[in-house]
Amino acid sequence: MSKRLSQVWLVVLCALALSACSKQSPSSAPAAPADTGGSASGDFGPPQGEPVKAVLTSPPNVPPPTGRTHPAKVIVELEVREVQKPIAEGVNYTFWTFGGTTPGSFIRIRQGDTVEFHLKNYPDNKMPHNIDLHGVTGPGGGAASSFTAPGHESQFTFKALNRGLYVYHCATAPVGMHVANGMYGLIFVEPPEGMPPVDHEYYVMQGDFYTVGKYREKGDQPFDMQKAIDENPTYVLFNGMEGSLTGDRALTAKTGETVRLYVGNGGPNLVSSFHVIGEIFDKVWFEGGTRFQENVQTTLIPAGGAVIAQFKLEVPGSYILVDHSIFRAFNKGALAILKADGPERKDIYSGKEVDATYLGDKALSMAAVGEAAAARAAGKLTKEDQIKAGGLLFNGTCSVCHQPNGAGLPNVFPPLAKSDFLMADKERSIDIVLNGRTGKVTVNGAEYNSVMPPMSQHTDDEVANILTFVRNSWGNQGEAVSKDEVAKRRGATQRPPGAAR
Amino acid sequence: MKHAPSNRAALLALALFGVTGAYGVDAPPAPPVAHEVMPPAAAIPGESIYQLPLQLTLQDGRQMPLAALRGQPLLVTMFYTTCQGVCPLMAFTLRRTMAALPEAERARMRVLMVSFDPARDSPEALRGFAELNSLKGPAWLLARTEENDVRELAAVLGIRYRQLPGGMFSHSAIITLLDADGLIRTQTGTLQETDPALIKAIGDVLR
Amino acid sequence: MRHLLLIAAVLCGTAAAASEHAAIGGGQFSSVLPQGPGNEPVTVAPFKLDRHPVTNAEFLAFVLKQPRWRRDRVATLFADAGYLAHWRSATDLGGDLRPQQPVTRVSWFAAKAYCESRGERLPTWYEWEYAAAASETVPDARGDPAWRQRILDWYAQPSPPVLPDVGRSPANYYGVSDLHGLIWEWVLDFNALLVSSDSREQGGADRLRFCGEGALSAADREHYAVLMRIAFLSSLEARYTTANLGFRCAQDAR
Repeated sequence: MSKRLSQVWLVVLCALALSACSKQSPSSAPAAPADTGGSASGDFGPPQGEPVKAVLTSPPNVPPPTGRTHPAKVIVELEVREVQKPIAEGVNYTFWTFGGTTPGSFIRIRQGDTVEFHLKNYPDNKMPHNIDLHGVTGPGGGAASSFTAPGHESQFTFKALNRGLYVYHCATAPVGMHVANGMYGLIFVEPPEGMPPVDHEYYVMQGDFYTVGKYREKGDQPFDMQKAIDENPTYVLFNGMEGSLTGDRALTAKTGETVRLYVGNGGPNLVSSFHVIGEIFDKVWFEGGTRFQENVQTTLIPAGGAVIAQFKLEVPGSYILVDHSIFRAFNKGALAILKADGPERKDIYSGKEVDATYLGDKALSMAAVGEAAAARAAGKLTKEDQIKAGGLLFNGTCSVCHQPNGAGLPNVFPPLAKSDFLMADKERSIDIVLNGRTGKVTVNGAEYNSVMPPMSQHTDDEVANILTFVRNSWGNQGEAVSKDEVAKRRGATQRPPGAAR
Repeated sequence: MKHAPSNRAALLALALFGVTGAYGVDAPPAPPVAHEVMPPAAAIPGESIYQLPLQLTLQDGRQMPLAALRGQPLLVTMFYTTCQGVCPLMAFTLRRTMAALPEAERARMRVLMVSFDPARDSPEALRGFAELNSLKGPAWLLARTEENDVRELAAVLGIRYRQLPGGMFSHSAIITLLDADGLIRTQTGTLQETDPALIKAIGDVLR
Repeated sequence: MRHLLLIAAVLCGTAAAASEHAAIGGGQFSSVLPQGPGNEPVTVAPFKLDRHPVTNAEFLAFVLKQPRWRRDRVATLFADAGYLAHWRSATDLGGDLRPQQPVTRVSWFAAKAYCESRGERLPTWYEWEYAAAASETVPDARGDPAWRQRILDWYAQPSPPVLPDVGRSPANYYGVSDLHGLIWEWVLDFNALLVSSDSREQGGADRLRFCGEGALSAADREHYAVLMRIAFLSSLEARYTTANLGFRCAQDAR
């Protein structure tokens, strides 16, 4: 090659090299990571410090946060117990349990922890059992390494590489039967920075149950494999028993507090449409994962899955946790209660404000009733207004028994027309309309022994108007009855059970 | 198969064999078999594999009770000579394991491989397998024992096996390290590669 | 002297019980555990099977005859710490236990030794399954949901505080009783049930782990009542004992 040509080649090559260098992207710093790295970034190294014995809790309680800032060796000892106990009132079922409860004990560790897991099979148990924890990375989730005969113990060790809320369950054949008998629970692998603090954390787990007998059929009920295969449960329950979280076992909190629910679904078959009646989930870590959704009414929990739902309570009352496949809640038992105590917040929820009769298109015109109410409020109510209003109210209510002409039904319902009993005592007549009357009365010489139901659902205005009408119709002549008189009587007496107000 | 003995025979057998001697066998007296007398039961630890009173026939035709191997650590596994898959792999793994040991340790280790298939694995067949898989030297003991004893040895070693209609066996592949007294120190299912935990355990047991 | 009388009494009892075999004609049947690839039927040769499980009395007689099998003398290789733990002493049942209850808390080695002491053996899994497939009236009742539910009902109950005596439930088609509803039972080849301990593994893909045909996967998942027997047996090691595990003996037919 001539000297000149090689010089040209040198220049060309340098130019190419330089241009290649300057082709470096001019863009700025690398974009923020789109994910938390999964298991690849979940290994924080070997455990540090002394081994820690895991605090396990029975439902509905959750162990306290680990409070750790470094990975530790955690020892978990879980015992399998086969126990016979109630599944509903008067109905017994043999549960196979982790830790004696369905769902089983709640396990709480931190991402990166090394867990030394001991599974013990109580000697009086009949069946072999094992455990598959969905938070374990490894064959069978631990099932292959934990297969244990009664009266024996197995041990295996795993590192929790992924954060999240995970189901654990028995995986011994037939798996569906072991799960259907209650062998499931939750293990929470905290994110390394922990969860934000809340006032209450609760542990709830849904499961479907299959018995030979019908829903609430009393006695000892065995497991029905065919119903399980057909996915036709007898019970769908929270925490393994109908009523496990109702009455004095209801979850509790105060208004102003934030509640976090760790909710699992052991299945074996059904997916849950989890909803709390009267509340909205401020935050839902859907599927027990890392991201959260906000402002959720109902969230899906897959069979073998979990969810973390969090909400702040503002209004006192009973909040009902349900599977919103609603027949499960009301006909199979999928119902639990969170009772919130605290002062009323009428600005957020008033309770019932108006309870007025609504006759729809049956009323001719109830205008007079409205006018009377307005007149009384203005202090301008006349007896005529009251009679007019009372008459409209009488029709369709009192007239059903006492008849539109006030004649009553001989031997059955006493008359109001020219009734000596009615006109003799105004106080007593107010009392009867408010509180009802049973037993013997003598009206116009004839004996009546019947039941008058209380009519206390009418407002004081309405009762006053009805009585004024009755006392001035069909030959009756009497004073008007005022609203205040009725109000006084209502306050001074007690309504019988079942009556309004 | 033996018939159920009458009461008389049972009592006679009782008298003849005494109460501490024969294990499980209550049959009418059989002609004595040429084998070494078992060491007294009290001397062998309760958990030792040498509690098993089984007889081995080695590839060179020698016969000895299993308990004669007591006194030296031992690698044990089970196989059969017509095995196409795992058994040659196991042999290979064992050779590599032995080769990975320091000279001094290797000299004190032995390997026992017992056949699942006593019906077909004669000493000649055992020799053939040893040749084919280069298992040469006094450290390598390939053996057969009675069918009943095969089941018991597998049970003790935690090995599962079953014979299939074609004559093949389905079996788990586990290598067990015994200490000099016959107690199980460790087991491994790692094949092809040598298991570092096993190598370390061998070092520990020879110390 | 009292000891000798006791031995004699127990031996007589043993002799009487030892003759209570049912003869079961052989045949082909479809097992839950296939022998190999494809679901070929299994052939079971004719055999004899004890009509009911071995009792406390029978096992006590054996232990007195062969003190090597006493719980205070047995080698730990052959039985774990629970061996006969429920007996009052190594040589005495105690008042809480009845002689005719099935003996439990016995290991495979102990069960095997007992059967061999009678010149017999433990049944194989196929023999046990074959005999256990029968209801009271038919030799193979496995397709009958009511029969299956009865078996599942036993699994659904917790362990009873007191085990019933043997022979209380009606005998099946072959004249054998208590194959279901009383105890788990050892079989000779319990360690041939090559099922993986994670019961969800299907199809035996792990050829290297189980040389040859791979792990057996239960052929007909509908026969879950039998599956549970296999699951239980595969959780055991030969020296294990459990409170609900006993055995009975078998022999080849002549």
